[in-house]
Amino acid sequence: MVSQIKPKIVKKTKGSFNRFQSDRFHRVSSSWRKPRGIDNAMRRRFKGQPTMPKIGFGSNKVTRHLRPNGLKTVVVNNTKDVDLLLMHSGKFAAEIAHNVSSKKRVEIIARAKALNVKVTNAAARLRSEE
Amino acid sequence: MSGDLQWLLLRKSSSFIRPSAPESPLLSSEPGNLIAKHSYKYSSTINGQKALGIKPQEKGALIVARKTKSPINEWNKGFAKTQVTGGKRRAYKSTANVVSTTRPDLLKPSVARVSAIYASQNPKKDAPVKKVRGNKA
Repeated sequence: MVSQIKPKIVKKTKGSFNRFQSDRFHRVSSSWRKPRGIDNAMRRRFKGQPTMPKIGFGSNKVTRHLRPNGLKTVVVNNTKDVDLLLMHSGKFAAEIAHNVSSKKRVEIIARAKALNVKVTNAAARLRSEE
Repeated sequence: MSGDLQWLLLRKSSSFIRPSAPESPLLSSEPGNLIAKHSYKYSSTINGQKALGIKPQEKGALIVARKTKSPINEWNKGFAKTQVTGGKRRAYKSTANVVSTTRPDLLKPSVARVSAIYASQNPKKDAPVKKVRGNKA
């Protein structure tokens, strides 16, 4: 179940980049927009300004999209999709799509367990009756 | 139609392509695809005359291999079915016997698939119950 190759995953940033002055005004949401004003201090990268996203923050190609356990995530909708991962249980983890009912989730999880496939959201929608 | 041309047609628009992880090789749900990878080598549509599929059975596996020199107009008759049961080592041996004559280039993945099928048929243990820690204990 655990990936055989284990390169060290390096994240160069923490979290997201916030839009200029989104901390000052509620009407300015934090979703990223590049500042383009002629005098903008953030655009001119002055000291003490928040960082802007750039290509150097990209992850290593080898470790991109990897989960901390070294597996990539594949969204599955049914047990047939899980069967595709039979030969890839050391490389891919299954993630059950959000619109799958709890009844079908039980089948998918049982199949994944038989195939030794890790399910990332196995606990979702599974609550024992009280 | 040549295999190269078929691959050009199928590469981007096959109904068997399944969504995969980002920046990973695409998965394929073709019935005869040994490792479920969308590629020229493993595509059973393109290698139709040399198609090779291994399916899990209730117990063991079933190898469906295209017979060499079987006529195209009698398509369904042209497959040899080999039931693989019994111990693992015997299963690998009988798989290798079939595959080495029809598709020697797929020997390794086909044995690996039989092995994975056998492993999937073993009963699995439940995960151990987590110990309650801290204030809950």
